[in-house]
Amino acid sequence: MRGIVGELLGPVSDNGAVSELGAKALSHAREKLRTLEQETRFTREEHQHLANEWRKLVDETERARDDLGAARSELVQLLRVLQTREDFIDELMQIRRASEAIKVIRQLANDIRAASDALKSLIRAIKPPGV
Amino acid sequence: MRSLGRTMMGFCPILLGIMGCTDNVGYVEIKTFPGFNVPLYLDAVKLAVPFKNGTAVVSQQVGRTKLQLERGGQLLPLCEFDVRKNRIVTVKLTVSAFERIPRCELKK
Repeated sequence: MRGIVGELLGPVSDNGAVSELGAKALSHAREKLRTLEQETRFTREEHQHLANEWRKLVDETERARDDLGAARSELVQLLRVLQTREDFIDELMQIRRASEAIKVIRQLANDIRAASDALKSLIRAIKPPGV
Repeated sequence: MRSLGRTMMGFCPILLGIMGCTDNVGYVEIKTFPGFNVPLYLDAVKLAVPFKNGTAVVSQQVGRTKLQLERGGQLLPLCEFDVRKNRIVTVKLTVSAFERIPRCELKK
């Protein structure tokens, strides 16, 4: 699950391909708007039309960038929740392993005690000849 | 979170198909304070500052990573931390009134 979220976060991270693509698109649209202001080839209406279209593109790209930012925040939050839970589970596993270790130690102690008792019985049972 | 899940159900295959796998990559979230406008470097890679809303999330190769600040044309190390696969480390930069160099607060 963490791997899936991690792979999703990659492209939308600030140095990810989607983010960089968005930043380039925005920069290009802004640059076009800026150069359009100095453009003299077109009539006033044509100029106005082109400027409006580029402004729309800038607005849409900015909105898309904000959406990407929101998705990124959610993925970061999700990844953090997952890794914290995973760490907690890992701790629980370690506790479980420790409990199991204690169980094994106790079992070992019982086995040694049983072996000792059996040995004592055996010693008691061994009687020297003629006694 | 649920809405994101639904969106991603359709979006995931496209993204993963285009971008491919991100092997041995973890993430660093860097949080700066208002007015922070000093160039930052993650190892040798320059980060675009100022960050939008003061926060950036960048993917980074797993391993020991150094966050550095550029001052007077030189790189000044701020902190070092481990980046682990598919995990996120948050580095919060703080500065007190009497300090010139920001301090790192790490959250793993």
